[in-house]
Parts: sequence; structure tokens; C-alpha cells
Amino acid sequence: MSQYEKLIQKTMDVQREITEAKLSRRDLLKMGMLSAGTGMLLPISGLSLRSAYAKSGNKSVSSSTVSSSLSSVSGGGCPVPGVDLISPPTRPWIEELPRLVEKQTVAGNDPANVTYGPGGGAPGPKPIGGLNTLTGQWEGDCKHRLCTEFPAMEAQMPYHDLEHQAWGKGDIDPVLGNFAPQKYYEQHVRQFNHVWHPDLPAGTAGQAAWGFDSVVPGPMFRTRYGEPHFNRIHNHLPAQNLGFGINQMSTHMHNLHSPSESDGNPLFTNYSGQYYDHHYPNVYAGVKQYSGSSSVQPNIKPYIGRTDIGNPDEALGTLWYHDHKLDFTSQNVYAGLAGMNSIYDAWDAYKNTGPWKSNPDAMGDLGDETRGWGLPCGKNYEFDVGLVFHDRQFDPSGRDFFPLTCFDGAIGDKYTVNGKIQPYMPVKRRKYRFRFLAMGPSRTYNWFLSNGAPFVMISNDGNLFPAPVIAKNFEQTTAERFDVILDFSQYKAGTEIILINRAEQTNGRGPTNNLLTPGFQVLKFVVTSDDFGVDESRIPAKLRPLPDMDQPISNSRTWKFERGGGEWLVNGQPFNRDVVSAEIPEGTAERWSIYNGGGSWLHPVHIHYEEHRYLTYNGTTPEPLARGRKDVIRLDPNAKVDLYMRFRDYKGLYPMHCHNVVHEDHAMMVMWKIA
Amino acid sequence: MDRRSFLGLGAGLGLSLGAGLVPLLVPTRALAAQAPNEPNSRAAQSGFFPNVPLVDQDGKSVMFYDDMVKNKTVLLNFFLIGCQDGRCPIATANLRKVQDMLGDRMGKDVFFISVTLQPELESPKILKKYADSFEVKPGWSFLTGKPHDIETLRRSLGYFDPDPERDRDLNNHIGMARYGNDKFNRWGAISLRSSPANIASTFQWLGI
Repeated sequence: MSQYEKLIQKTMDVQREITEAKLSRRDLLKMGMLSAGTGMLLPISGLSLRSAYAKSGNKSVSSSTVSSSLSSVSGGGCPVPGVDLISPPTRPWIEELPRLVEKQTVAGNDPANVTYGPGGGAPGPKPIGGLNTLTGQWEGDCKHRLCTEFPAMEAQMPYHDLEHQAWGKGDIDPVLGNFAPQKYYEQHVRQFNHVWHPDLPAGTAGQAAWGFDSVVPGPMFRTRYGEPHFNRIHNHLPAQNLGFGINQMSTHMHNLHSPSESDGNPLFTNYSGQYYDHHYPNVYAGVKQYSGSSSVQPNIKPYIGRTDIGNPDEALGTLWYHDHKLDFTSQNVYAGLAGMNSIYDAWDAYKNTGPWKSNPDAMGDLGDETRGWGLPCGKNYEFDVGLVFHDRQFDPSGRDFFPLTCFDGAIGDKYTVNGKIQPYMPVKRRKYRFRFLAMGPSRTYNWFLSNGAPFVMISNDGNLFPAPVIAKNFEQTTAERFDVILDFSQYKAGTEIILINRAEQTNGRGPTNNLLTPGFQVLKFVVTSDDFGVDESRIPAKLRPLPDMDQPISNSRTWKFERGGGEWLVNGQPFNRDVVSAEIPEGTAERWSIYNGGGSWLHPVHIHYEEHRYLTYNGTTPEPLARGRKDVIRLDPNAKVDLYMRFRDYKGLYPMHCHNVVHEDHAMMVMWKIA
Repeated sequence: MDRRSFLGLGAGLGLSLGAGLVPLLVPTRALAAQAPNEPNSRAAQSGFFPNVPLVDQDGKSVMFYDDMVKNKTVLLNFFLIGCQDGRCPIATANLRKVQDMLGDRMGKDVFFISVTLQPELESPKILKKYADSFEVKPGWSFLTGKPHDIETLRRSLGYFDPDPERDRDLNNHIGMARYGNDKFNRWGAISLRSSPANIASTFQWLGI
């Protein structure tokens, strides 16, 4: 830290003291801290009046706090973490890593126990009304303001008022319309106090955050293909925010094959005081094709078990859910609105899902480590662990800081895992499956283990590979997920292994591609001698086969992601709330070419609803970790990818956007439609 | 806190004490005791809205945060009159239509702020001519000021390109508008190429 930076930090400490002491001007005058002449505070030595935070007589000095005064020094609205803004010091390895709360159904899994709320009714395939906070009236027939705010877009949806496509529509569509829920959930989104670290000035009392079910990160759902589920999300957020954020939401389940009305489209707002019903049929992509009701001939492999819920080779796995409100996604996710969902194969998805010890060819990611691929799980998912990585910035007084006026992206100097800064995790001497999620807002990681041990990678963006890939390190950008198996049985009790991020990143634009040594220590595993019974899991030689790409491509489209006129653009346009940029016939396959328009920006591009496969990545085959299915494209500066994607089953509007959520909010998004 | 503790702090800062004067930087909070009673919004406290002095198209002097933003719902953009690719006139025309759509909310609870990027050239008189040519109605301020203050403002609000070469070229200026509700700390952005209906619809939910 330079002299100047030290001075600024000390000054901010003093500032906090003064404001805490609630000194009045008279106090300061009495203490002789003001110049008798101008009545202004005397400038600190070494800094000119221009940098002082005072209104001067000739009114040519900017006031307010440090950030604006530093605007001439650094990037103005984009302060550099650790340089322009320094979080209060916190000791590492003080708190144990919290497990994500395991989400439970409503009492007895009885839909009668789902809270109705005023004007509402039992969960059902018709939309429920809500209170229109503008008029104070209950609206029974229009689920949300999409109908009045964006009528052109509402007309693009298959059913008026966003009725659930997959529930109670069996007479209209016997293949897609009959997936009534088997599990009922309910969530309450509230403001509450969260302790990021007890060393922060807020201490163990914590500070305000927003969370699904009043926790950050939100709970972990464990769901299953073939078991459709329902989730009613109640928005109780207050009008006064945390200094950023808005009490209006749209919850996106990234990247489930969900009907559009439940997908969390940025336009479909859930206002405070209302709830929004999501219905997830939990089907694999290819339902129509596999049931024989599509013009595309299915190629049903002999190991497939059932054909009424799509192709199990299209299974997803590690999903996450987060707010997706138009223009405020980055702020709301930063406020804490993100959680996870692990979806497991249907028990009979494949013909052979039995115990693997007696039959090593057993298949399936079942949530039972004795069966199928036998991935680590344990009772109550003890060894199937979600790790949510999120970097955060605090100002020197410990308040959350979000760069409200920066277009580049947001990074912070504090690393959190599951809501805690630099936690430690006691681990037992057996295999674990870790689901790494990069929550953002904008950081790209390059993960290493302190002892040089390799990662056994089993999936990318929730999609299991055809076979495990061993990696010494791996990069992960915002919204990507990677599942990793670590085997602690080879270590003595007491061994400590630290997960380290070595990617250098100094601003929200993207990593510099330099590897830092030693890097940032993020999470410490501490091997214990605790008993765990028997480790019945395995690392199988083979995992999920890749689905074919036999279906011919019917259309090619090009999408260029770039910065123009300071805005974030796709094909030269910012997001237009009235425009559908592509209309794709259901059941077809397309080739999409996606370019990064250059500059120093990394754009993690995300397409909702379906996974994609790379045909080429910068003209060649993609790296081993990216040869399977993905839903987040790591678009480096000047990168170009060609991808194969199919658009199957449900109809309606879906977005494609950059998942550096700050770019997304400054309009790097398009809406496309399956028609 | 008494003077002794403060002197301790002063010593901690490594500064020598002069004759009864303790050099110190003061935060605006202390000075705000003189300013209007309500505290500044969180966003303002974080330094995003420097309180620079500006002048509007009627020649009136205003302080940016205190007079134009504090507790208000605003839409703000930066522009040039001599815009080469025509983006600015389109943006202004769009905003003019939005102004009509907002009816009598303009000037009452919604305000537009357009700040020039060429303060040396665009005086209040010129801004007035520009505004009149679009027949703008009340509630929309066109602002200019000292070049240093305009520069501070545009940097704090994020309207710059990290590449200094590109930043120098005014034709690369950012065409997005920041919209916000200072009372609730809600700040977003919208492209001024959006349709007037899209821009106007933002104000339906921004304050609820």
C-alpha cells in the first residue's frame, strides 16, 4: 500500500470515529479543528483542498466521501478493490463452512399447507392473482404486470396470463401438459441480518442482507427427474434497500429445462407483497421426441429406461437459482438472492440403475452412492456438498459496497464461501462430491489445491462428462458450475489443504490471465479422524454418454457481444424490452456463432433453457473440460465459438445474456422465443 | 470523544500539531449539519453523486446532488449538441416523447437531467436554445458547469471508457441513461435507443 493509500485508509478510520461520536460543527470548532478564517477544516498535509471533502467558498470542490474524491485518481465509479476501497481486516479460518440449508417440502408435502396469502388460492395450474400495489386492488386474472407493462411480449407466450404449460393441460397437450407436481415447496424472501465474518464492525449481530428463506446463500433443493415440483415464492422485501437492490424479483432456475413462465424471465416481475408460483415438470430435454410426438426421429439408446420424460443423456445436475429482475439482477444477487438445486436422475431413467458393486456398468446420478455411478453422497447428502463462491467488497466502516455506477463489473477483496469469509471445513477421510458454483458478480477463478493434489472433475455446468477428467487446476467464471471429487482418505488426520484462487483480476472486466503466486486462500479443508462408517462411493470409469448431434441444423445465427457507445450490446443493440430477436420453431436444431467483439472484456454468455455443445472454439476443438454440454460460454476477448443447440418441448420467451451480471443490467441481453 | 483522544488520532496519523490546530480531513457528514436536515441517501454517502456546482439552461446555479437528485426520482444522461453519429438528437427526441407520456408527473416527482460533455462550448444560453428546439416542458434540466466539475461528475457516474484513447473521443460517449429513485437507493440504467414506452414504463415500478 502506498503512502497515499495508507493516508486514505487512516482518514476513513477517523471519519468513522467522528461520525460515531456524532460531533457537531460546534464541537469541531471548540476543538480548534476548523480554520478561523474560512470555517473549513484544515486540509491534511500532503493533500490539496481539492481532495478534501469540504465545500469551499468558491464552490469548485467536490464533496461527499472518499470514492468521489478518488474519482480523478482511479476509475471514478469503478473503485479498485484493495486499492481504492479496502475492507476491514478479517482473520481467516475463524468460522466453519456452513452447509447450505437442505430445503424441505411444506408440512406433510400437502399442498393444503402452501400459504395462500390474500386473494390467492391453492396451488394450481391457473395463475394466482396478487395485490397490485399501484392500485391497491387484487388482480385475479393477470398474474403480474407483464400484461400491462409489456403487452407485446405477453402476447408471445403460449397461454394468456402465463398459465403453467405442464400442469393440467393434458387435454391440450397429452405429452407435455400432464406433469402435475409431486412435491410442494414454498419460500419466503426477506431481509435479515447476516454475519459475513465476526471480525467485521457489525460483529456477531451481523448486517442486513436479502435471502431466500432468510439465509445467504439460499437453501439447497434436492430434486429428481420424474418428480415434478411446485415452488411458491413470497416476496417480503422492504422498499428501503441495502443501498443497492430492489424489492422486485423474478427467480430463475439456472439452467433447468423449464417452461418459460416458470423460468424466471427478467420481464415477469414478482412484486413485494406478492408471490409467484413456479412449476417445474423436471423432465429431460427431448420429451416430445422420445415420446414419439415429434417429427424428429428419436435415437433411443438401448440403455435408456423410460421414454416419457425425455432423454436422460440430456440430464442436468448442479443448478442454481437466483434473482433475475430486469436491470437489477447484479444488485439483487449481490444482496444475497441466490441458492442451489441438485437434480438427480429418475430411478428408472436408465435400464440399469442398481447397486454398482455387483454391476459396475450401473448408470445414473441417483443421490445414493451404492447405486448407479455411485457418486459420493452419504446419508442426508453429507458428502454431496454445495460450495457457493462469491467475492464481496466492504467499505472501511464494514458496510457492504456495490459499485452502483460502474458499467464494467463488480469484484471485491473478500472471498466468501457459503456466506462466510474464508471459512474452514472439517472433512472426514473419505470421498466428497463438491459442487462449485461461481455466484459472481463478475469474478473468474483459477482453482488450485495448496498441496498440488489434482481435482477429479466430473461435470461442467451440471452436466456429467462421459468420463471423469483429472485436472491440476481449472478456471471457473461467473455462473459456471463444476462438480469435483476429492478423496481425503489418503491424508492423515490433521492435514490441512487449502483451496486457492490464483487468477489475477483487478477490475470487473475480466481476469488478466496472470497466475498469482501464492494466490488467494479461499477455503481450508481440515482432515479429521471422525468416524463415517463406510465410504460406499466410487469414481466410475465412465459417466454420462453424450447425446447425439444427429439432428440436422435448420438455421444459423450470429450473435456479437460487444461494447458500443459505452453500452453493452448484442449485435449492435442494447436489450429492447419489446423485441424478440429470434423465433425458433420447436423441435429444431440451430448453429449459433457467438463472438466477443474485442477489448479487454470477458463475457460469460448464458443461454436459458437448453444446454449447448461446441462445434468449434476459436476454430479448434475445445479444451477437455468443455467438450460436453454446457450452458455458460466463457467468451474471452476476441473469442469466437460455434455451438450446436436444440430447442425442444416447451414454448415461449427465453433470454440469452452475458452473465457478468453488471453487463447484463446494462443491457447485454436478447430475448428469443420457441414458437 | 474529547480533544485528547483526537490529538491521539492526529498523532496516529503521523502529523505534527501546529499552534492549536489539528489538521484533519472532514467527512461531509459533519458539515451536513448545516445542510438540509435529512441525511443523504446511502448511494450519495458512497460517493456516487458528487455535489458539484452546475448551471442550468435558465442560468440558475444548482448543486448536483442536493438540488437535482436528493430524494427525487430522476433520469440522467450525458450528451453533446454536436453529436456526430446522431445518437444524441435521437436520445433527446425519445426523452421528449417520454416526457409527454409522464404527463404531470414531470417536474413533480420525476425529473430529467441532461449534462453536457462539452462545457467549454455549451453555455446555458446554448443549452436553452437546444432545449427550446425540442420544445421541452418543465422538469427537464440541461446542465453545464466548470470542466473539472463535469469531469468529476461523469467519472463518478461511470460514464467513461477505461481506455484513455477511446475516452478522449467524445463520439464514444456512453448513450445509456441512469434512472433512479434516490429515496429508495434504486439505480438502474436504460439505453436511450429504447422505445419511449419502454423508458416510461420504468417509472411505473421504480417508486413502488
